[in-house]
Amino acid sequence: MEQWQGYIGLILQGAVVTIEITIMGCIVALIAAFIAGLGRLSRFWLVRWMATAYIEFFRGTSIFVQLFWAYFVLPLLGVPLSPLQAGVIALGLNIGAYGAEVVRGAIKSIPREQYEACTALNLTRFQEMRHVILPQAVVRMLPTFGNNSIELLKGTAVVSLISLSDMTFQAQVVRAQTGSTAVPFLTILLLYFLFSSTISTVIKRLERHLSRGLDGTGT
Amino acid sequence: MKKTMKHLIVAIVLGVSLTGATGMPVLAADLEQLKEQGFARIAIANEPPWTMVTTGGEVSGAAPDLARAVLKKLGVNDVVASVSEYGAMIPGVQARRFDMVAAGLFIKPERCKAVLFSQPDLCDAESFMIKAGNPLNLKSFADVASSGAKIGVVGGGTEEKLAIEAGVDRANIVVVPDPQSGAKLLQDGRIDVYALPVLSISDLLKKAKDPSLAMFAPVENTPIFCAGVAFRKQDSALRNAYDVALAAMKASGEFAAIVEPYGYSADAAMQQTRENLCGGPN
Amino acid sequence: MEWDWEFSIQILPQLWEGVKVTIQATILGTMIAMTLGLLLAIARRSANEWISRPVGVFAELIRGTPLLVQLYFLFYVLPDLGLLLSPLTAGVLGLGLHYSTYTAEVYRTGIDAIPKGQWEASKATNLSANQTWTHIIIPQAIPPMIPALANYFVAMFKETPLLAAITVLELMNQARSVANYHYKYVEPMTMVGLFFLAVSVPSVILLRKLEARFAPSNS
Repeated sequence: MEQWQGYIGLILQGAVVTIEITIMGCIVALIAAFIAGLGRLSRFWLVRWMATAYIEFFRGTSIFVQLFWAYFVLPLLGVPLSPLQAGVIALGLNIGAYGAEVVRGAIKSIPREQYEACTALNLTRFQEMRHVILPQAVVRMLPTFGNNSIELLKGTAVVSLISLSDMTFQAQVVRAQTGSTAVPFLTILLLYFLFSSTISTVIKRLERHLSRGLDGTGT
Repeated sequence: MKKTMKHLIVAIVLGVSLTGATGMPVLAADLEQLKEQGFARIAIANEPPWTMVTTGGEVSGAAPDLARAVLKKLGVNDVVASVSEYGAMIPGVQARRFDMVAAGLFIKPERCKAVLFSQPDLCDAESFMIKAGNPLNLKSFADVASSGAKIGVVGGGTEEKLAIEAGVDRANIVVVPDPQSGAKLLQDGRIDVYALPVLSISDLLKKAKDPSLAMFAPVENTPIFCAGVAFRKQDSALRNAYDVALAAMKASGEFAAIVEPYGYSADAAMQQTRENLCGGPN
Repeated sequence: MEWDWEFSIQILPQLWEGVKVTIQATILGTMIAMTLGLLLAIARRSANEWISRPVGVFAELIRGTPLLVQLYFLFYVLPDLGLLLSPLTAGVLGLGLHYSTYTAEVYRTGIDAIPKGQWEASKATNLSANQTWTHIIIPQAIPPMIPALANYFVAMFKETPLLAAITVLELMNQARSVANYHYKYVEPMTMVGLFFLAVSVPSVILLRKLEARFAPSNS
């Protein structure tokens, strides 16, 4: 019976790694999404083109392919990455590409009057973005960002295939040691579900908090 | 909104620095540098008793244990192991992802062209895991080819090449993700035979506790393979130092004390040479 | 790092075998996802709580957990319960089931967008539930949903590499097999990436055309 405690412990260790990767991946994704999303709205043709290239490249292949390429091929091209780095970067850039479209869409959905008011008040482009446009846009981005974070969480399972000790990997280890397949897999299924539900709830709360004082989310 | 921005910036900075701090792989495998660093990075698989990761996450098995002991003699106190597919180990060590491969990688001529090996350490014959009674009467890889049976092998392993060379149809070769899955695939009847070294199959059978599974060994017309620790071609100084320490341990009996409890024959390894297995100098 | 052209050409036949399986899996998976998704959407709208609730929970569970773990389940655990599926069958089922939960959401949005008047008119003209669905609701709901559904078709295509984890010999698996055998990772992995890009980028253009044709005017 104490054996099982050891095995549950292993899975929980994996859960910690999964959460770590999810958070770090989301941070990378957020940065990439904003840079690329704003980049696509840039006045400069080159910036727009680079942003589009990044978005289409990472949306055009699956996380699995990107991860394997980052882990197996990049080192041979002179960029050695640990499994953790490969995982976080591949996941972050992949989800970031989807997030970029959300950023662009949300900013474009802000009504013209807001922009005109900023011009009338003599705000610089930076002030306009920072104080008026982005605060409203971010609220609109939240629901889809929430879905994207859940996609990232689910995507972390793939890092088990490059032997990173996430929850799925540890479930395989437990499976190898105990011979039982159903129990470890059921356990991690429930844990993943728990994590994704938590993300949904947090995003909903955040949405409510950030739309206080705003004129409704205005669809 | 200001507070959230501040928190976000802190989080981003933390996140980026965490990613950077989580172990940039060391770029050189010079013995002095390893000693300074205090550890060597090794590649392992997860195939008991060659290599295994235990409940507590500890790495053990004949190959890592031996590597740890030899490295200690060289003044490197610890090993940091990362699990890898066999096929990824050679490209991995070439790309400096690891300092050496201590996973029971068999010494074979084509591998000797790609990496440097230590003198042999762990030897074993090949075996088949089949359903009890060996219903298809499979005794060699040629039998597998002629009977049209489905054979499971680990990715990048020796058995895959043996099967292909014996003429097994590629469509009948199932690459198994890990040893445990192989046993499961056999139980479910998705494959008819699973090929791995004798000690690996014994270990799987012990853990599976399934009377419907059995082992046939040794596989006919197949040599006994010996493994060695693999190094990059450029790390010959490291490899030579490793060999010296390994030879000392073989002479003193420490070598036997480490590998025999796992079921390996120390004599088999001591009687083989790398030059023999590589078909030339290495 | 040099690119070995001879090697690349040498491995093309084996990779092509993988491509055939990838296409097969995508088409079969899509067929399942499209039909099952519609059934799920209809079931969730059922007035009978014994149907709508469990279906809803089941769909959430599948949507909120990684496809990889679901595939392991179908492939490794089901045989213990007496159901032995071939790798491709398990893979196609897993893919279809997972994405049916997404298409169900698309159908739901489309069905919800049908004005109440249509439902009321159907009742007034004495149409049975069956007739209402097949002649009134579905023909109106589907066209605006086509871009979103097509999007998931492309997504499923990109996710087929996951099937490699349950030994399906699709493109990614063939590439890994080749890489493992020859100890060369750069060429196979890059060719897989290029192949996926070669299919995704044109499909994005196609998708935009579909959107222009089918999307409702108020988007």
